[in-house]
Amino acid sequence: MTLADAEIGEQLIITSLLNNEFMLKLVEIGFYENKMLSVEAIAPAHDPICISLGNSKIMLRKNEAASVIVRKCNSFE
Amino acid sequence: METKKLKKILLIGNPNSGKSSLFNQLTGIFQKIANYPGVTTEKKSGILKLDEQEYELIDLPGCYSLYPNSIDEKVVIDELINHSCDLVIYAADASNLHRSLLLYTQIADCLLPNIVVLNMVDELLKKGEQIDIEFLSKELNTPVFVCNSKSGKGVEDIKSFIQKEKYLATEHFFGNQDLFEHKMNSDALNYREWHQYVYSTPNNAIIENTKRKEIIYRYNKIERILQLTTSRTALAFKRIRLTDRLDKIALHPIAGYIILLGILFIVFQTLFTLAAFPMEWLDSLFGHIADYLKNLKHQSWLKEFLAEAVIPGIGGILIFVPQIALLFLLNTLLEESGYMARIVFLLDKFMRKFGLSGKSILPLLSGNACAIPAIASTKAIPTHKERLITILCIPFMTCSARLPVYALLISITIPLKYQGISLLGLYMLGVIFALLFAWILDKNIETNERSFLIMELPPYRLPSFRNIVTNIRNAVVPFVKTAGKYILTISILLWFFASYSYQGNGVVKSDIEHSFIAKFGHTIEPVIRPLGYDWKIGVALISSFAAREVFVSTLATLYQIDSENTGTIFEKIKSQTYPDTNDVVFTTAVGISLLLFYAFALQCMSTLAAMKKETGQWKYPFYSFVVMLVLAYVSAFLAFQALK
Repeated sequence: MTLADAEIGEQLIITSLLNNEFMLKLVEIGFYENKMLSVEAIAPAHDPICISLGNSKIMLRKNEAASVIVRKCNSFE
Repeated sequence: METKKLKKILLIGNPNSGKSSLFNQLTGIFQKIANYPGVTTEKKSGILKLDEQEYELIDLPGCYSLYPNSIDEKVVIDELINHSCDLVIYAADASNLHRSLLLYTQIADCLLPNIVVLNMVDELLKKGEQIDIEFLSKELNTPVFVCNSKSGKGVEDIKSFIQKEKYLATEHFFGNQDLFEHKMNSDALNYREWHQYVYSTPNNAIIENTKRKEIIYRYNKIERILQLTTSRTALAFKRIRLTDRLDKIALHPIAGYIILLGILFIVFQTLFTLAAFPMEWLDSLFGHIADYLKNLKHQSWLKEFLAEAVIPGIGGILIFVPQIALLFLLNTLLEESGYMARIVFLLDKFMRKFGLSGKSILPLLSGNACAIPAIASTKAIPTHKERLITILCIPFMTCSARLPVYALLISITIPLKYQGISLLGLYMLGVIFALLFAWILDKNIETNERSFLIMELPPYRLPSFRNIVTNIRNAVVPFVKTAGKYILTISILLWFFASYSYQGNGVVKSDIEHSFIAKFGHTIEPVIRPLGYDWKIGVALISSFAAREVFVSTLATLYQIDSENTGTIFEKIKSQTYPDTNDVVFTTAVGISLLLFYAFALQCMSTLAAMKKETGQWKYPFYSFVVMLVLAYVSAFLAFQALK
């Protein structure tokens, strides 16, 4: 799944980033493999969303969120 | 005596890292701000004076890494690459060291002498965060200072370091070997050279990927250091929880919007009601001073000059000051408390429908104070198209220079019970046309750039009193200076041209109906007659193409000269009649026509200059000017013809 599909309150772990123009911007602000994040708020139409990552809160649009591949924290498949 | 070159110190850090407060603390009263307040949109420079030694301190916009995503960030990198500096003071947000240190490690690797300043550590310690400063300093291989930029605690230590110590460039954080492991395919020997190579080379997939690896590598290294040097007690999570709890409501898909509307309502209500009182006092004060001078027995041209040109001119400037101060107070409160970022979150989707971005909101709101700093603050908008559209829309917002014009016209031409609603209506008109214009532009500007918005929402905090005062002062002082220059010059010129005429053998004193200005006014009358204006309004209209606020002072000057009765300027203007028919000049139809003209016309030279500066081309200000002038003329014409 991608971060764009996440529901509010979910704990997620980043598994990879899609290789597109948002990649570097996402990495710089702290999105990279194995980082844990949780979904804090979702605006109407699922866009933008606000997540908490480490000590900070970050908002990003659906488009950008769709290039962050995540898995649920408590799923061990 | 040997004259030494000023030592240059750069202040760098992430956005929201307390950099600007630190700048204010360090420069204190010796601050000389080159740009407008609000967010640091351009480099800001100040003088730091320690004993007899002076240092130039430059505050750069906040940024996250040495690979720029916006023009704002480019300013930082250009400064680092193109100019030398003696010391970098790196301001790190102690509550988010992980991210803060990313840019730091890049700067250290560029071999720039540096120190790290952890801001607000004392508050963090109280809240349960623990940082081993000494150990951190050892791990980073650079002096680490702690300070509180609100209270000023710790600032003295930094000053004494600047004054007494040698500045050293630290060792590579990202050692040479690490660098070449990642096969950066250039001839770069060190990080600085690699960065210069990357910065001057068009992006490609290999470079992108190497940058990504570099950043992750740095983050991993930072994580290791922070594991050794910081820890957190249970107490620490409380503060984070408070922001979380507030955000549960503030960012809620329904409650969030209700709160937003409430806050915007309070902001505008405060603006309209609170500023009205000091504005009235100032108006009557200057009216009385002018009357007092006029009634003096002593007769001289100096007395007339003071009473008819200088005093009304100065009054016309100072009357704005309360409103501007209040606008900047409210803007600063929204920005500093962290709520502005929540507004961006709530309105981003809505703004995108018009080709704007959530980040266009701050510039558009600042446009309610003054278009010039608003246009400069668009630098934070990352994509070119959204930024351009924002810049072109800003002049539609009701800037504070329009306010005195509105205040005057509304109070003398609109019936009392509709006065409040018409001011609100004019604000709404500005917003609606800004959005409409944006929508049209969006449909007509081609771009292949993908729009994006990734932004941090800072924790809520109480705004610092010092920052509020600095921001207000930095807004009011340049305003009075620049507006003063225009208004005073034009008032004085007007007074001369309105009091003298050319007759046969030279320039002689004459009444206003035969003066130079009347001749000019009557020449332009055919153009403005269909809008319902007499020649005096025409003169005021033309003179206010330099700056809108000149309208009031021009009318004040023209009617001050014309009228024998005493009273405030407002009363004098209201009682004007046409000499031939005795009809009132300022009827409701004329008032509405003028209000519409001022709502749309781009009568501000400084705004045009700012647009040229930010877009790099004259065609944009020219285009805006023409479009808005046509809109102003047509709407004023239609309104007058329909209402008369």
